[in-house]
Amino acid sequence: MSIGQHFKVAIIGGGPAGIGAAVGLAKRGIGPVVLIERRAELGGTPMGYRKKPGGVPTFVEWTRGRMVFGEELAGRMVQRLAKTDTAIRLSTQVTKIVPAEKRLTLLGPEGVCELTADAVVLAAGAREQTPAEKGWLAGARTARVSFTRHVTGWLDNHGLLPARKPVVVGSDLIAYSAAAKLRAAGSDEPVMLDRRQSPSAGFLERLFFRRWTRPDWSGGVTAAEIMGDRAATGVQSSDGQEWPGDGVMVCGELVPNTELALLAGMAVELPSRQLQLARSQALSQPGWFAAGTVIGGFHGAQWCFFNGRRVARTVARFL
Amino acid sequence: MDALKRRTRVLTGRCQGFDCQVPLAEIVSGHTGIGIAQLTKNGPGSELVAPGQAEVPA
Repeated sequence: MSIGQHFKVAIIGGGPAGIGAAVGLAKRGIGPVVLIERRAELGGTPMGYRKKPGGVPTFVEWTRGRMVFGEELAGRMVQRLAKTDTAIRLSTQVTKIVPAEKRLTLLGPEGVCELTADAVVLAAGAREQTPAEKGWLAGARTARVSFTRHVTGWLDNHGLLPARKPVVVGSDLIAYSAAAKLRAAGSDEPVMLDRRQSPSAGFLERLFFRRWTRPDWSGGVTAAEIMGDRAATGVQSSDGQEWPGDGVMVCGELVPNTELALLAGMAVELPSRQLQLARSQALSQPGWFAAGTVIGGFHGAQWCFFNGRRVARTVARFL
Repeated sequence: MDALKRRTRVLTGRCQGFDCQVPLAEIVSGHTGIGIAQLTKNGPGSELVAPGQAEVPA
């Protein structure tokens, strides 16, 4: 095990927020900075939303009146990062944390190593809630119960349709974009159901996706069960209503990736996994900060980038 | 895939399969020569994507 390089700031997470923080710190002349990313490429979640001819534009932002795809947006951020002299560790996970000393143990392609920093920014992002975490969606863990991430993975990278008769659980922007992607790829019109009485996506957002999909909406489902033995065959509600299908997409409702904060003994609310933040995005231990969707809620990539920049200001003040 | 999960605890970590399921399928397919469309979770009838498709590489 190689002992310790020391950095001024360590950023955990190479998505929009982490990149924003790195860019913000570089602008203030703070260094050296290290950026740690679990995956093999930078860019985070928006990177998974590829631009494809005939595809549904999802994860878009409007910049100067022009629509920008997730992939392009993340690409631009990565380019801005390349102009800074941030040290980048790809395919590297944080496995151990000593919070007071801000000492991180990393597992990467070159094995295990340790580093220390004066401040740490947690920008680990979020993932979608599993059926178990939802708490109202029971049933067997069969095949073809997928997250939106899987939908885009199968469709965009392999040209495979995850389900021909999809049942979408959830009704936010992510759920609608998944429904639209499935429909555009040739599935039947998806069935969409949620605990809410009305979809959580806004009117204009639904209007946008109407070009591709008009999901068959069922709201107010208080408890439901995934049916199926080997593969999902639909969803059944506790009052006996059935929505048959050949795949269930569990979409939206993000959970912040706060496992590392828990590992470091930070104040985290359970079971919601929301970080308890002091003002200016500071965590409960001094020198620890959070940026991006890891702080909870549903945010666009650009918001995360600016949030990262903002945390850079706070970190600069701390140092 | 379930056999792998039992033996290696893959898909049960921090992301609960959110990030890793599709890459895992790619790795398994690469090693075994089984097409991704034919990979199953737990034997026939539990294909990971709608059955009876041919892969169209991106």
